[in-house]
Amino acid sequence: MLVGIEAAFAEQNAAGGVQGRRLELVVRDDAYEPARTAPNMRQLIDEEGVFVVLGNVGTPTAAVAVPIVQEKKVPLWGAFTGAGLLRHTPPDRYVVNYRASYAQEMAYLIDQLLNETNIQPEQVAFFTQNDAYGDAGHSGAMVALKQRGYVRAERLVRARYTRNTEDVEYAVSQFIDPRNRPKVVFMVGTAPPCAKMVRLAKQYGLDALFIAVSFVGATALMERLGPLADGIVVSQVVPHPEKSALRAATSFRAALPDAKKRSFVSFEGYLAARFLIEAAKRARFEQGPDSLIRAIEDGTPIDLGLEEVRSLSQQNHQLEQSVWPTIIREGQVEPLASLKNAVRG
Amino acid sequence: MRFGGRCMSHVQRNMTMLVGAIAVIVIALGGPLGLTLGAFNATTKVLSDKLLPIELTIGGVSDALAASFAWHGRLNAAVNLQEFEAVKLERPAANGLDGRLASLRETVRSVDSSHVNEVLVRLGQLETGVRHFVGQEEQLLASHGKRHGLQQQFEQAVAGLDRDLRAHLLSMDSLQGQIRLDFMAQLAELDSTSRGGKFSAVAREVVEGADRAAYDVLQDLRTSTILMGMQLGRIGLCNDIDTLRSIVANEVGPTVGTVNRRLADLLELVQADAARYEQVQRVQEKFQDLVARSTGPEPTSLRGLRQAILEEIQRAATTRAKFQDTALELGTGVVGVQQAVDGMVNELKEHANNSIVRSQWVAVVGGLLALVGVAVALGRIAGSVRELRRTNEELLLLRDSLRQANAGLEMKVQERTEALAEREVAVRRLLNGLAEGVVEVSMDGRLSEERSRVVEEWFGVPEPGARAMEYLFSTDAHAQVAFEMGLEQLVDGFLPVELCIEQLPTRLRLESRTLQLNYRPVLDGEATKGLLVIIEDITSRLVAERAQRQAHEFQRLAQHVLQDHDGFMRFVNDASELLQRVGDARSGEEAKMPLHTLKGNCAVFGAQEMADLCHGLEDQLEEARSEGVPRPPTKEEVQRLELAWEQMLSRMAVFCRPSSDSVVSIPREELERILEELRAFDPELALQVERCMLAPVRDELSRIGQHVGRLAERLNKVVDVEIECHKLRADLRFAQPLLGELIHVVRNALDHGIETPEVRKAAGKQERAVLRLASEISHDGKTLAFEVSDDGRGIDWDKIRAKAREQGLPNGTQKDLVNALFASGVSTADVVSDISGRGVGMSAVRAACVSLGGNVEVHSVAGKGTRFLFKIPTPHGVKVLRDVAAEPASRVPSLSPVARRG
Repeated sequence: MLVGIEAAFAEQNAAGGVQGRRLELVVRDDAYEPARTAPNMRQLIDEEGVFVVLGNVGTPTAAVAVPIVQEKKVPLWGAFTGAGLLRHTPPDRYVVNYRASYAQEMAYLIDQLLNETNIQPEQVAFFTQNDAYGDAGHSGAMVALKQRGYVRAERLVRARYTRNTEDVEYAVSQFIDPRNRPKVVFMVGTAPPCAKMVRLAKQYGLDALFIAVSFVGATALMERLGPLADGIVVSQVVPHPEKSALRAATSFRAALPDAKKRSFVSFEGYLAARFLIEAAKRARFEQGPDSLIRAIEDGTPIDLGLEEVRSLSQQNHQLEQSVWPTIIREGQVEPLASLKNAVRG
Repeated sequence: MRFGGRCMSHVQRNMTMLVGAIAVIVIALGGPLGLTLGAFNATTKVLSDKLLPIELTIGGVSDALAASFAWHGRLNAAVNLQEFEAVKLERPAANGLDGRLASLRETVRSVDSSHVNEVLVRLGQLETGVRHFVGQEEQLLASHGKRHGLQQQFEQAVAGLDRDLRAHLLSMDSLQGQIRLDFMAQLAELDSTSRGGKFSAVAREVVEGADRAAYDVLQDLRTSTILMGMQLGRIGLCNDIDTLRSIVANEVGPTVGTVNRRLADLLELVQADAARYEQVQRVQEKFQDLVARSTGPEPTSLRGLRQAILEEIQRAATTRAKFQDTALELGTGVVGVQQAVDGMVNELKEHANNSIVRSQWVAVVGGLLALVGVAVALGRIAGSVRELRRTNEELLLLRDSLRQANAGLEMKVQERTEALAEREVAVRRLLNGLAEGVVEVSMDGRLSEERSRVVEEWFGVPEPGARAMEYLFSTDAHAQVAFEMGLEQLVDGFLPVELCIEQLPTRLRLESRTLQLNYRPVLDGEATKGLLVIIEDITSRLVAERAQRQAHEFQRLAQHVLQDHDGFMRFVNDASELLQRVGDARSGEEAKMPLHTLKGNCAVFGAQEMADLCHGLEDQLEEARSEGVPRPPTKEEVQRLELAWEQMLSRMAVFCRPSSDSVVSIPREELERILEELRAFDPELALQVERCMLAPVRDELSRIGQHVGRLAERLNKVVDVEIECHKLRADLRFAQPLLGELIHVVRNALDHGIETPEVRKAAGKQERAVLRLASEISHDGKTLAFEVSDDGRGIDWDKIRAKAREQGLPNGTQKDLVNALFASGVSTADVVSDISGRGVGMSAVRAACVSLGGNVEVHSVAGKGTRFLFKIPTPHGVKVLRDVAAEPASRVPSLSPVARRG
């Protein structure tokens, strides 16, 4: 996140800053620890007097940060989470998102799967963490299925595992039940249990397409599964940083020439920062941090060089709705034009 | 004077005796008084210096015990260690009590009383009691402390067990998952081999195999473990040792047995797989540990801790019972000491009383003796004085007879002259004081000098020698002639005096006055010497008579009107026409018929004055006709008639509006005047009319209520208006400032108080809200109250508080909040609607109420509704009456949007 943000800031400052001002980044690390989020936030806002807080990572930390920004009236921008907590309707005034939500990712994947392949809804199963994150992904899928008219969605196999454990055997036993074997398994979880589940399932002969939402981390899966990771689809909320020809990707590659630092995450950081810069160009700084919110709520189109030019309003504080699927092939994460290409046979 | 000297010496001796007796009285009264005072002082001193401190100390002991007891209550109520420690710090110093009691002993000993020993014994008992009390208090404190400590330990143990049970379940889940996976794998294999050949072996393994069995065993284990968790929870809740034992033995025991058996089964089932065997063993160990920690015999197990707590509670209860007994004993002890001390006080009082009674006896006996002495002395003195007086009288008699002989005749003459002068003055005074005019006329018609002052007031001061006929009758030629003739007849003396007097004029108009003349002959022996004229002013009497007549007439007329309005109106129309005809008549004959009819009609309808006038005119016309000079009524006569008619009409104007409209409108002043007249003659009727004059309060409230429908419709609320005004009628003009503002309260109730039908339904209320407008008068008739209440959501005081804070208004007390509610600018509405919400209306209401000298009360219950009560004093002279006819409270449904559409 930080790498991408720094790249975007450096790029903008080199081009003369925003409205003649230089962008300055004050960094605080909460180490994904909610207890450290609150003092960090207060320090940033009260002592450093920052204009906006950018790129917070994680849902539990965001849960702490949101009330603080609402109280201090300083925007929380482009947090690295797809949780519904940051996507209230109507949105919290000082929370602005770049990326699609987990539910949106799930819905996108379901739609693509059912539209472009010959997979039927009853051939789908779910592997979810037994907490709010897993539930959010699952309910996103339920909504998408029901919208397509599949009313029995709730009766699809849903295997859950306990957070912070790798007790996935029970789940696998559900998937390999010869009476009802899924062809597609959606995974809403963290990398270790997902990896273990895939390994066991394959070991017991389950021949299915595994699809994970972005949170799992494609690289982490590859590290744990090796060749077994081949064919796993992972949805992303940014285009492929290396392979995409979109202007956003080319400018990212230009801003961050070191290919080793480029990843889906740093690309998201870069895009969140670009989004902020676009808003800042039209903000009236003398009116304080609130001017950033006013700058996006007026509905002016914001062009980050992605597929679509979007605009925001008081009812919508989330810039991107798009999801870019990728697939793991031979130890590489490749863009996936269509899920059709991932389903064999 | 010889014999006088002897008397004098007697008197002197008796005086000495008298003085002596008085001195004895003084001593007899003063001595006992001094003694009484002394006794009184001594008693007071003992009371204030010794007994009072004793009583105070005992009172202090009693108070300290009460405080200590209250503290025990709190101690007992403490639910955890923290609270217990906090209460412990507040312990009142009951242990200083025995010291205070010991110091009391010295004071008691110093009192001179037969009760000292009793008091000391009782004090001793009390001291022992207090020591007991303090000791038990310590015990109880320790017991409570121990129990709370144990409780805390217990809770920690429960928390630990709970955590571990969860972990245990989780590990079993994991195991179960693994076994299920194996089982499923076998099933999958079965599935794939079913098409091959070695079906039966795999199938048997799937159906009867160890994995399947182990899976089932684990399912049992899970259930038992969860059951055990619940049973442990019951241990935490049980309140006596027997229940605890029962739970451990009859509930947890079997569960543990089941778990152990199933675990053994499981071990057997998985023994082929070393890793899994080990896993199950770990589960087993963990379980044994859990069992030991929950129901093991150690005092630190859940069961042990609970048992200790229960025992401690029992112990504390016993101690506390004992403690209460001690406290009771102490209370009795205190009462005992108090009684004993009271005995001391009573003894002291008795003592003082006795000495006072003794003194009284001394005073009474001494005083009586002395009084006897005084009486004897006074008797003797009186005897001597009588003797002296007799001697003196004898001498005076001698002297007087001499003096009388000298001055007899001269004195008599003097006396007579004085008496005459006195009489003249008295007559004069009498005449001046009279309200009647009194004047004497001599036979030659001249006025005498004697006349009352009012005569000069009325007729002016006569010139000397003025003649009565000119003086008295200058304004009335007719009377003048009559008087002159009458007087002449009197002088002639042919006719009897009474007859002559009868012919003298009796009435005389003098400017605005009407005078009545009465005559009395002044006789000198047999001959008439002159005439005494007594003049009386009867103007006011005549006016009063006339007013009375008119009022009677009005009353009759009013009755006619009230009974038969149309008939009366016909009468008025007919009479006007008849009058016209009388006025237009060219001859007496032509006037006769209408005049007679008019008379008759007027009489029938009770217009007596008018009837009389007609009658008079009729007489005159008839007289003229009989004298052979028939004439029509003169212009003046007609005018007089018309005037009287108009006056009557104007009095009756109230009722003489065209009858086409059933509503009579009357100028208020007019009605009040009529009412004033009526009140004197027919209070009942007056009260009825008065009621009619006052508007029903209902009308006023209904007017406000009419707004409700419209407002409710705009706000999508369904409201019934209930109006209750106890049949009151009042002239509410004085209350208009408040009534005008009440609509703000109504609006507020509709906008903020009353919820929409949906919300009401959700809250379990009737969908139709009720807005009540009411009015009532206090029993003494001095305060008129208006009520506006609703059954809505009530006032959100927290919101008011917040708003008040925002506005910088005081908001500490409920009173502050009520003030804030009415303060300008405080509104609880989040949204200012065009109906209410600016917070200005309520301040206007209160201002109006206060300007009328009234006050406002607000009663609000969250979720139930709000009631505003405005109480204003009724100003002097404003009447609030109650209708006699029954008037039911009504509910007026407002137009709901739905109803309207329907």
